Amino acid sequence: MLLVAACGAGSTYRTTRVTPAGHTDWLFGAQVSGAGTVGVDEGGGKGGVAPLPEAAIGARRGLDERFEVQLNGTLLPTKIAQTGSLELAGKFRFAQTGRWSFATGAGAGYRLTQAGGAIIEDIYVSAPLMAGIELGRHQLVLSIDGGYHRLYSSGAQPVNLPYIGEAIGFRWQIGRTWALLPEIGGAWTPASNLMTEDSRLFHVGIAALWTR
Amino acid sequence: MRLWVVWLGLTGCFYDAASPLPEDFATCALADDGTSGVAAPTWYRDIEPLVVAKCQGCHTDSGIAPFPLMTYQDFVPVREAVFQSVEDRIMPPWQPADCCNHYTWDRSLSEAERNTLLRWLTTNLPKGDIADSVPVTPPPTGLPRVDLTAKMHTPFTPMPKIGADEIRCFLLDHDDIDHDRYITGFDFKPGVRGEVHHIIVTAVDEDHVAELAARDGADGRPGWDCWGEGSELNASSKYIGGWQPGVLPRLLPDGIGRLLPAHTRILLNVHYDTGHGIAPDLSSIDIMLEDKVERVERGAPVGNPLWFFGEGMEIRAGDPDTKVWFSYDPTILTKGAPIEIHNVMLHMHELGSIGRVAILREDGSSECLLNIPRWDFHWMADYYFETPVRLAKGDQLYVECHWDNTEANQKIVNGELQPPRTIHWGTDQEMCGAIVTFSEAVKP
Repeated sequence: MLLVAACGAGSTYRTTRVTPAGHTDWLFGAQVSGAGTVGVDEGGGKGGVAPLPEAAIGARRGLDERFEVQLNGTLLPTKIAQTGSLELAGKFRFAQTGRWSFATGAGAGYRLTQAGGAIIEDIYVSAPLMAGIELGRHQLVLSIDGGYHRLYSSGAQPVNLPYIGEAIGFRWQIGRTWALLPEIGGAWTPASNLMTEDSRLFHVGIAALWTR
Repeated sequence: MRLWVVWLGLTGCFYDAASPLPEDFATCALADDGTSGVAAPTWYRDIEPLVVAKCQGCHTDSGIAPFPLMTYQDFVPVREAVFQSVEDRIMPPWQPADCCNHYTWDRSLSEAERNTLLRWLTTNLPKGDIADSVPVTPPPTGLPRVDLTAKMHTPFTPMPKIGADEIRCFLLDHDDIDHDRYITGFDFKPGVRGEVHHIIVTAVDEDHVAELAARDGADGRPGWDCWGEGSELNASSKYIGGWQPGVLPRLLPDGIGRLLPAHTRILLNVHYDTGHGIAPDLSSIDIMLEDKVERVERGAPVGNPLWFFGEGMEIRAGDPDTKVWFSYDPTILTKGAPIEIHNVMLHMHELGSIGRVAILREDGSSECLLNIPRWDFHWMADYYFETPVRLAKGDQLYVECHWDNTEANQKIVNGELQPPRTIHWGTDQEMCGAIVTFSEAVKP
């Protein structure tokens, strides 16, 4: 878990729709994020995926018809290791034309990962740019994002992980108050890892969004 | 606003750059004035037992050492070289500091032994009376029983690739391991003792054998180039054993074995030193196996995963003392059960200068597992404790590495001193990690 401490995805379950002003959407999700490597190295070490499964919870508050603020959290409390994150984010829908709408956002978060008394802390910022395509009651969401992680662990020098990524998601509206938000995304960072000169991150998850 | 304050307040709040161990941890000043030891030493009574125990692991006929020290006559032409290397504390090579722990096959000389040897070398090498000979138990030359032999399929002739060195991997030929078994004894047999510098042996999953086998011989020579990422790291997860000159066949403590999963293949990673000759090597490993053991020995890596990424372990060009450290409670691997540590190995590369492995006790005390005040990559070794060291839940394993990246400490490649460069984690850069082997502790 310490190895993928920096791989948690921030500001996920994207949609260009904005929570109505004065209302709060509640989000309950389950997701897996992590890093992947490919192949077998010289010594027989296998590539593969290092997954970090987590539960996600969030609240999205509409401030006006184009702007909302979000408070997002994730948690994985296992017996041998624990990780969790807390993030504050905002979203602004800046254009809407026909079936298309566009929004941008910014978020900043903190993640704490602990295993056997060893702790890795991650502070991060992210800035997604989203395009939504209305499909009846539903919405297809395409997004790109960039961001930056800075990781701390006692006895190591701080690590900087800039990244760029993309994601595809869907807002499957179920009635007036519920929606399902499946999403899958990937990211690239120039930071080297054990097996490769750069690193690839991923996340996949699904959340239920409840509009109160 | 308050949330932002909370967020900023959390930043790095558990981060501590200062090591929990003092700089002089597990070191002790020599309290010797050069007068200890035997006043008038003789070969038969005082020197021969020392030489058998401390020198003949390497200084054998066709051993990796440049000359044998098997007999009295062997000393006569090299007495000055031996004197100088012993006086300079270069020989016998033994990196751990005194005052840390006690290991089997300890090649170090006590001050009294050292003074005795130096005194003998500065006199006329008196033989003494053969009747004074002290019976010396010869070291074991093999395992009590061999159940599996894994060997290179074709002789390999090393060539200088990195300076005088070459690192090559081989999938060894051996009988199929048709069910899970446990290694209880391990004995590496170098084909050409003079050029095998050290080895790391790991087990390869059945699923990956084909991919590695495809690399075997792809460049026209047996095996494949193993100077790459991951070849050393694997030692932490699938470690079977290691060897370097002077190491004797290893028998695990009674009732303890290391799992060798069914259908795995054994992979041999050899560091060749062509400075001692270039002859075809055909090494092999004898292994003793059991179907059942009382306790399973496992390996626990000690290293910070953050060192693997980007600048997590950055050693800047010209820095005389870059230091990193890490600690964690390994009983997360045993669900909190106390463990007994049998062995410790520390790994750095050529720029390493100081290395420490310790236990940080829950009560605030600490216990030294390994303290190497003058790291020498070429004498990296496994160290087996005379008495297993117990570690309880809440205690932490600790590793600390230092590097000297000044101009004076650089490698010489093709006769040229390399300029310092800023480096990070990598097989062709630097590493810091310890591996301890452990089993669950016997209930007191």
